[in-house]
Amino acid sequence: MPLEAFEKRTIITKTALFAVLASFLVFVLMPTIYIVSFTFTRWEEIYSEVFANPIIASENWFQIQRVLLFSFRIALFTIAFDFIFGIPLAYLLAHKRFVGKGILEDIITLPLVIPTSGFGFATLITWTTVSGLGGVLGFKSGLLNLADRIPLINIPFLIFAVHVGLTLPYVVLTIRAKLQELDPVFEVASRTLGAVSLTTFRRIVFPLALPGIFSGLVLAFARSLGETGATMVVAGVSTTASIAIVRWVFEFKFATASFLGCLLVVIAWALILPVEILLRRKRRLSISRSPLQAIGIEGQLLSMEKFVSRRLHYVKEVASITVIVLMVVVPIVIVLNSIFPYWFRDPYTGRFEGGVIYQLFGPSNYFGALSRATLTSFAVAAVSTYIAACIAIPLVYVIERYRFGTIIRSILKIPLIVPTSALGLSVLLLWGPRGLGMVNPGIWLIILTHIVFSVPVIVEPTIAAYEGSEIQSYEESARTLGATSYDAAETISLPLLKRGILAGVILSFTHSLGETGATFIVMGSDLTVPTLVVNMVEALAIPAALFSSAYLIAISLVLLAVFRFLTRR
Amino acid sequence: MPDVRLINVTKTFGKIIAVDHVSLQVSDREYVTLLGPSGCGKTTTLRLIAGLAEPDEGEIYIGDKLVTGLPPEDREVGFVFQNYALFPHMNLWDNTTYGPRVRAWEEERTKRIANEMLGLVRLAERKDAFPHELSGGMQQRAGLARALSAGTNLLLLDEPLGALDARIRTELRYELRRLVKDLGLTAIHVTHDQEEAMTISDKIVVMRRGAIEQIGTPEQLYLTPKTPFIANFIGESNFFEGSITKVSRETSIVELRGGLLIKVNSTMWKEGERVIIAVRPENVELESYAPANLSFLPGVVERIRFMGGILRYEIRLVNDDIVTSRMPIEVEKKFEVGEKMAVTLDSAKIHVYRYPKEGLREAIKVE
Repeated sequence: MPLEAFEKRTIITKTALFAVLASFLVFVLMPTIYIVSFTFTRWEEIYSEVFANPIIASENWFQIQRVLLFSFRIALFTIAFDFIFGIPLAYLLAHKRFVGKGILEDIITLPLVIPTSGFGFATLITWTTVSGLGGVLGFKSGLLNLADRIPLINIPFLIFAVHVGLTLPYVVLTIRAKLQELDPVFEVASRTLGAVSLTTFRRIVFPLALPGIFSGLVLAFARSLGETGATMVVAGVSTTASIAIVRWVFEFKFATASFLGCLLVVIAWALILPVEILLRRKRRLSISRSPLQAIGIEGQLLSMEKFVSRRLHYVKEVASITVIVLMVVVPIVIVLNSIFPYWFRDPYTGRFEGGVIYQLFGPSNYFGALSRATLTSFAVAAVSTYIAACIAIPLVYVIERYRFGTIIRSILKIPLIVPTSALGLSVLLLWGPRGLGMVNPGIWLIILTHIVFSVPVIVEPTIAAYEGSEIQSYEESARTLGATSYDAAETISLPLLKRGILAGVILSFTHSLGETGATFIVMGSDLTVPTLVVNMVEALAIPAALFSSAYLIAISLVLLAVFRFLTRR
Repeated sequence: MPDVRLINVTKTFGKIIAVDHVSLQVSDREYVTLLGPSGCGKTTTLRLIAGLAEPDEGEIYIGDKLVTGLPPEDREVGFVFQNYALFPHMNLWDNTTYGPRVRAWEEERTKRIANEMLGLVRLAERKDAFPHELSGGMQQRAGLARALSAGTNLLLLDEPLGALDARIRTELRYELRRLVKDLGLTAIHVTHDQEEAMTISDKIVVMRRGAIEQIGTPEQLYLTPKTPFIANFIGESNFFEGSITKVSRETSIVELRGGLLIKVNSTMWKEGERVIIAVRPENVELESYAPANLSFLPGVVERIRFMGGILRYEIRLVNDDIVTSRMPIEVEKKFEVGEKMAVTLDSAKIHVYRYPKEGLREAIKVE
């Protein structure tokens, strides 16, 4: 190739690389950390509002601590529950083949893409109203009340239920991946030496899978800390940290909100980075002696394990499946099913005003609001997904090609973990009137926010498709035939990756449709469907909320089915 | 009382019949090898005995106990894996004592047997080492010690030497047999390496495509292979296609390609039947040129290979068949490439088989 053409090529490649990295920086990384730098640059302002408030002294700081502690408690118990019921599920999916396995996998992935406020609403009516489990079991009212707490741990049941539903996938899928990596021969060896399955799990599988288990639980913890959308719907008077951020933004207590948001973002980073580093290093935990042996209870434990493994064979699997069905499937089924009785009137009081039709087309005219919100939601999803794809696809190439790619990949996990309301606030502070002043709250700000987490959502399936295929070998063959790496990417990898990219795009679109927490902060007066649902619930327009949730969930299910179809092959 | 008995055991995976109505008996203290090409069902059979898979049909007995349906942890069988499967997060001592501990043996007994086994495999000084710190040969010995420490009488070995270097393999195989015999155990050893099988087994079970081809001692299999497959798989054989032309009281005459005639010591065939005859290279003797008759098959030396103490001749006969001969280099008569000469076959050492309906190629294919 003549020298000028070669140089020209190199310049183009370098420019393209720069453009991709710059977009990544500007559209993904900066919004994620801006809230932290904001806290540092406006420290006096924050300090005076939070700690040394002229009117209420350090009351704001006290509030922050209170909600943080509350969120931590919720997260801790959530992951404990996830651990107990998630591991049998992960095991089931990793090793056993059975009828309906695909469906189980789909059920477990559902919470990752389902609109959070819709899911929150579904959980709400399942447990607290007579249209839910209460009615199914024959009661005249809901099974529980909104504010009912779980005894002993004193956490509102509804919040716990949505958090478990939304975090279980993280635990199950991460542990499953680690279990699949583990050579099954170790379990086999253990059994030939006389250990029953439970003992084998405790002494062999668990220690070897520990990094995966640990990272799954950390991801779940972070997700629970950051959960906003569903919690907003079910929280009632309780306040978690992420809800507090939303509330304080709307009360114009920006400094307090930012400080809390900053804390949450820092915590998310502090949780993720060590886990990522831990996962990269394959150093194994050496457990020489079973610690229980030292305590002397090993003998009893062994006989207990023998008993459970032999007699109560499938108890743990059945229990886990029941949990996930109860937490995920039942609410969705109930909400989809409830539209029918509620269509014309409230089925219990007979009043027209309590029917979906009235609420949509009557004086409140939610139909108008819903139509506008639908347009907004789809427009936002489409535009943000498109822009995110333009950044994500070259980014995948960069990640695979360059050594610093692994760092980028780790950083990309952050937007998915950071509390969505904090993320929204960060974007608002960066691009909005108080920051660069370039964009006002409204549809464009929503789009900018959605880009931040859409990029990671597109990148991961694409990388998975790339690494799980032979594309690398094809690229190498192309290059030995004379294609430059860019040519190879364009003519070989891209067409072959089409399916993976399409899957990522659909996932991103669905996720964007259902996003609530961040959108709430930046939407101004442009409502999306999930945020409209939150408003409807607060206005107690339950049938309208019912209809909107059901309709949004239905769309998500259809899109998820398409996604599965594409990735199943 | 035989130690292991399989009665009509069958295992299918979807459409593939991995083990096809196999019946087998292994006596107490016997060292038996399951030998065959990949995919012949030997590993599946071993796993069925261990309880790592359940048969679709048939019964398996260990000792007097019917074990079909029992999980592996209840069968009390020692299993040695091809890739050792030493628990990576435990050192050698903990690996070795895993079996006893999981059965809740007392500390004293556990220590005693673990030390004994580690001593037998000569790894006593390395008990604090972790698996990744040991060489392949050491890891395999460790795997052996671990399987033995669980205190069983039946040892199952799944290609235990497959992952090792050739040299270590030959050393370890004797150690394996010696250990098993010293401890008075019964062993069932799976391998595709026929040299390995020949050197260490009391009895070899040759399997192919899910079924047993022949069971016998190494000598029996070598000297009296029952099928062309065995004649080819065990050791080496020359094959000739022909048909029976005359049957007398004690011998028969076979006509080979091109009209060459040869005398064989078998009288069970009818005239006109198509047959295959097989003869091992060491039973092909070389003589100076003589015209064709029942004793001599003339030909030309095509290639000579020097293989240490043996010369390997490839001779193209006048009918275009190629025959291989292996002769020690001390033999007086030596030939050169291109030289015309003749071969004689010892009729007592010729095996005659019915011509297989799938053709010779298919019948001896190692698959």
